[in-house]
Amino acid sequence: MRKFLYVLGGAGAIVILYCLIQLLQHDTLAYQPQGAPNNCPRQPAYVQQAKFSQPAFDTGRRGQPGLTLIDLQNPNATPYQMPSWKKFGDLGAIARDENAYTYSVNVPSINTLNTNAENHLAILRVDPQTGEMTTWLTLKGAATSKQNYYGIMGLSYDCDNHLLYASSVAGSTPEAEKGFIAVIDVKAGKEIYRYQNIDAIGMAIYGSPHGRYLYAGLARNASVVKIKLTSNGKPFGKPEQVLQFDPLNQTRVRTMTFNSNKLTIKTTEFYYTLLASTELETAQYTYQYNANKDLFSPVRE
Amino acid sequence: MATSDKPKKFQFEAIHITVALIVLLAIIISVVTYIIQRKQQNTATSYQTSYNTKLVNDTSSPNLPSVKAYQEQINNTLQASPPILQVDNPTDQQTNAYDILAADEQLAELTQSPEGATYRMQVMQSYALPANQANGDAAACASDTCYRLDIYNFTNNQTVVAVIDLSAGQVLQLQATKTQPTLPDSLTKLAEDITNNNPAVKASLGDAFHDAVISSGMKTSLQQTVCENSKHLCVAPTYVLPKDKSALWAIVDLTDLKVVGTAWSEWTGDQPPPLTEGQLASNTVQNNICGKVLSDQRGDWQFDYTLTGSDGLEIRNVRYKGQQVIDSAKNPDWHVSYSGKDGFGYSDATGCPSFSTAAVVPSQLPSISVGQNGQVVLQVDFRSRQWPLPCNYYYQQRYEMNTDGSFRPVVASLGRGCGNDGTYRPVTRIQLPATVSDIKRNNKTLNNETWWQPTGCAENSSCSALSFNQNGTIYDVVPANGQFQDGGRGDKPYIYLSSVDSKKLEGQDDILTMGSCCNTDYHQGPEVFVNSEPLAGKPVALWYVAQLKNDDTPGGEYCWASSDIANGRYETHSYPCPSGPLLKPRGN
Repeated sequence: MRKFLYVLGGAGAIVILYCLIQLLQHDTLAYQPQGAPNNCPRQPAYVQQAKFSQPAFDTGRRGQPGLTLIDLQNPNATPYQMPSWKKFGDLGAIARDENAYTYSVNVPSINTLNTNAENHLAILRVDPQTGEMTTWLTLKGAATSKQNYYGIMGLSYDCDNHLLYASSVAGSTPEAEKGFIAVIDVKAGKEIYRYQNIDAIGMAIYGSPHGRYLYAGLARNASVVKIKLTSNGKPFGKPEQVLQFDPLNQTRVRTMTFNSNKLTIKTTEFYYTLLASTELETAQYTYQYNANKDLFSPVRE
Repeated sequence: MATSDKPKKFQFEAIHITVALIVLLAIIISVVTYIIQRKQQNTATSYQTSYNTKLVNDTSSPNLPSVKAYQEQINNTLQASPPILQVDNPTDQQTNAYDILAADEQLAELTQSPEGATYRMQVMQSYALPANQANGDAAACASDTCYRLDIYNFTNNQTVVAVIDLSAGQVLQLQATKTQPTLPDSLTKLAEDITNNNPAVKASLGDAFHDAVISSGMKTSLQQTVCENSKHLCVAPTYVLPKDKSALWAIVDLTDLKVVGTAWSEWTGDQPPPLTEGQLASNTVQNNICGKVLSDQRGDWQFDYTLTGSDGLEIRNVRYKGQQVIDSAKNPDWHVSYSGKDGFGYSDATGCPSFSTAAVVPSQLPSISVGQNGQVVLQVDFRSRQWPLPCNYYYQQRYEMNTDGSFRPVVASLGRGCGNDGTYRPVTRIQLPATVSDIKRNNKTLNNETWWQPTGCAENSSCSALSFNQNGTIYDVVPANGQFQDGGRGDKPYIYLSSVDSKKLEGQDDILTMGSCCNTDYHQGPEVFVNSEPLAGKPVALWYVAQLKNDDTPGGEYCWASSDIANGRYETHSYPCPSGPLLKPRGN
């Protein structure tokens, strides 16, 4: 009996110790660095081959699956596309880093012919020297289903922490929001944190005197939420609503960009279906961030 | 002994208490830790707002006196010059502004299409230009008296903003924008009159309508909405029932002057969650038929049906006079190829409006009707929102069940597609019961999986491409060859037979995109299930891929759609190309 009590007491003490360690290690909001960590991407060497005045990567060209390089100054210029850029079929979000790597993901368009069901959580990467696109990292998660063929929808690169954020809606159903935001250490090439139970598409990071946050556009309503980030770039805590940009709740954030203290969001409708993008309503909204009030005000352009 | 036992007992009890305290502390700290960590975790589940929605087929509103009077005003205005309905009881200044605008030469461009058709237009707001808008072209308004007219173009869903300088007697600004205007009181009242008198709205409100609307003269709250599918001017009179913390929305289409649908929602705050025509339609279809199997019986026919994620409307367990005719039929894919550019086209799937792999979705629930000849028809329409504009599609599925026991799954394209050089190849899958025997082609028994293209049948005549025995009844499978008098010009189909192993996925389940858009031969997808396996003893899938070439030649249109303006509204002309085989019991 006495032995049992010693074991029970010992176990209790271990539990107390474990809990105290957990409490001491709880996540805290980072306040530095401030601003938008998106000014580091370098242009890869192969871009010169296209001889464009204002080259930009694009994945939304009708009838041309994959990644293309287009000339923003000359929309009539024939897009530049390396052979490996189309072998993964229809692509979606694009992110770039300071080492001139370009990242993208598979997203089905109109039908599933040009996408591989196994690739919905794969992050593709283009080598800055050779221009070759390969599968770089495949995240773990729910398989595609006939109800939800989508996986990774958004990418955002944090130049300060050298982290890539990937938002996924894989596994979500009408009843349950099962998406996640994965935080990837690009140097190590592995996922280091995962923020669960959120269906998000476009994302951006911004630091203000009120803290450093990941801003995420939700896939299920016309809202932008912010999620606290630790100094290591780990998202934590409950999402806090920042904006409701569309009073009729028709569109969702496709991309989100901070330029100084201006937030620009591009939106489209999204129903977890393969409706053609040409059929869907799109819009663009710009907001000015007021650091004193910690508020976003719409800017009329 | 008693004295020596006491310290031991005391010692044991002390350990007991200490352990109990440690365990209690551990439990408390664990709970606190759990709560703190839980607070730091996201536990979001769903952001969706639920509505109880219903689509309304409004046939009563055109007969309302207020609607008739307004329609007469519209008709008169379309014949007038300018063809713009003025505000009710205009002031002298409003009249002056309107007259100056009417005399402006630029106005004709905004009131007529390039082909000369008159748009339906109405002045929605007419007011003195606010001082802060006196800039740019309207800078003179800083000193002059100016009026602003917001004129809505119902035909094109645009608002024309006109700034009129009353002092100078000229138009300073005339600009069309893709926005919808603030409604005048007359249209607000008209919308409320339409909903107050609509039988579907009254039925939804039940006793609340009489108690609140009639007895107390309850005011409706007019909510902003849009009709994104029809591109019409819409508004939502909303009946708020504070006691029930609920509200009934009624979306009114002021372009067509009718109720589009109703929806019950919670109303706990000042504002209810928003609702649009598209959301109402999508919600109604999703909640009523997606993931649900419905059953029906009409005449001698019994059947089940469901809307799939990407195989269109599936009919199941089709029975005639109690006898199973087929297990199921569905339309897994539409392949559309254009000959102008090699490999250009689309593989479209039809199905549920959310959480599906459909590219074209319905905005109405399937309908079931019985014709004068006793034909039972189960039908659903899948339509791109901007149809009939180029590169938008409209597909129709009909299951025709006739009094002679014949059954025909019909799929039709109503255009318009991306060009006049398109060929549509819809894939239809019909699953015959396991009891089927004697499958014959040209009187020769088919024992194994196979495919072929029937030939040698004269145009407009019926030829059996295949026959089978189902419980003693011989059915002929008769391809469409222009003989069905439904506008179809013949299918030139590929036919495939494959056995269905219930342990394998052989097309029984919802099928993701099954073939390329642009193959012109038998490689349309079903061939992957054809491996020469024996047909006997298992259900057999009969795949039927019609080939339908579109045509935009005036007078000869096929798989096509166009629109023009008549009476101030777009009128669509569609030229369907129906296809599909008839399964006909021999001797009937």
